[in-house]
Amino acid sequence: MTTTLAVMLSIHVIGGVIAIGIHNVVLMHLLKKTPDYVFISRIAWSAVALFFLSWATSAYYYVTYYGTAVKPRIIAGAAPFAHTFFMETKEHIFLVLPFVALSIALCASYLRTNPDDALRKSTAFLTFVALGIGVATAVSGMLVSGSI
Amino acid sequence: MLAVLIVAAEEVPALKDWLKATFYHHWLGKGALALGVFAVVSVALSKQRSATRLSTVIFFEAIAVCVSVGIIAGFFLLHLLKLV
Repeated sequence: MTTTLAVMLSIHVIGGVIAIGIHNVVLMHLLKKTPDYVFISRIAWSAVALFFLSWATSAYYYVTYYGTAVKPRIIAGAAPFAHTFFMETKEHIFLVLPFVALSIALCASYLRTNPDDALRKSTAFLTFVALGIGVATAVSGMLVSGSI
Repeated sequence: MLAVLIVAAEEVPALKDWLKATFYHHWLGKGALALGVFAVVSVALSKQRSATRLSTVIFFEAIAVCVSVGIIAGFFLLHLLKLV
């Protein structure tokens, strides 16, 4: 693996994990009766940027290296399901996550000028879903890495 | 849309080939199409002025995401078990 690929992979992992952590913070703040929507919208947009960064770096790594160098080793190894289920599921579910993060950020920005309890609750629910997907994706990534 | 596209691309080789030919990689193609659909839907919803209706849309978006993730994971599980 080249230094560039190692850096890309590191940014993918670190960016993704931080973004997932931010969604946890967003959720905790949305569950308050009077949330600080300025703070929530700012960190929600940070999560969007980090998810897109994680997406872009993983795309480079996946398209240029994973398919030819890593995938065959996993499939030939002791745990081929790490690719055939966990990686396949993760790489496709991760297509959804940046858009969900974008929806959350857009709602948080809207709530800054139009506070609404129903929208706060539904945004909290969407954030909870995003958090669950994020954690599942991260755990899948660990399983894939561990199977090499 | 994404869940349908993902399952369709796995089951219909011609679709996957089209995504590869058009976008260099099938995964990039799915991402690009998802971005396009999201942009169109977002512009349409930006006309929405009612917070109540918006909260309903967001709620159903969360449900749709859960269903999509279930479909994607379920499909690849069936694929792993060689049932599809």
